[in-house]
Amino acid sequence: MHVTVYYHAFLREKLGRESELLVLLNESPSAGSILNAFVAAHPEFTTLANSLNIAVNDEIVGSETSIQASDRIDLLPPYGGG
Amino acid sequence: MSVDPYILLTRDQLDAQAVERLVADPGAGGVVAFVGLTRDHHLGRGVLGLEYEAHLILAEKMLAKLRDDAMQRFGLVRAAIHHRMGRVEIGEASVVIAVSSAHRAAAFDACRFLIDELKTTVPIWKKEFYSDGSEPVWVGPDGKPIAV
Repeated sequence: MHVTVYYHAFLREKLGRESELLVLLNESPSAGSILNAFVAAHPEFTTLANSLNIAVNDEIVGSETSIQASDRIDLLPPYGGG
Repeated sequence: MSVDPYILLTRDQLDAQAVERLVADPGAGGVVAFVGLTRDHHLGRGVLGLEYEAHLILAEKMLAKLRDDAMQRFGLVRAAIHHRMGRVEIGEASVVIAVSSAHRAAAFDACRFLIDELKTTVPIWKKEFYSDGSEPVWVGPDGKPIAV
């Protein structure tokens, strides 16, 4: 399955792009599969990956949440509000 | 954008007194507000200004949820959270949190709870620009630069 992942703030600038098509190898992919695919594509983010949140259709989800190809997926770097 | 006047992400300057008036109520014995200002230094470096961005839909949703949690947990009368987006100059407010409650202790506690939770749970990002001309840096919830 292919999913489009949207990047924000630090991630967007570091990667130099706003979104990216990632390939998920699992038959029934979860949010965790997205992180794995992201790290596989960008190994330099392996450490930071633990601090990323995933939003699916504008909700923060846990790594077990299943993913559809049509989902809106955002990868969120550590927050800095306030 | 949200139609809830108590929750606001805006590129316009924040008006702390207006947010305080928003939460004032005849049933409340006090209003406590926290105003976060853009400081001219951080970790020993001169700061020229900040730039904020957010996942707007999610950030508004999470701010509203945070407000609802605080209302219930501290028994508040009203609570409002307004946060700046885009460029914020030194001395300008980046965030205004105001709460009202029947008695002062709940209002003080709720205000602190809200700013602490906002920093760690709401998808808002902050970039710092420095006076020494060095590269701007995205700053994490602990105030330290985000790095790979």
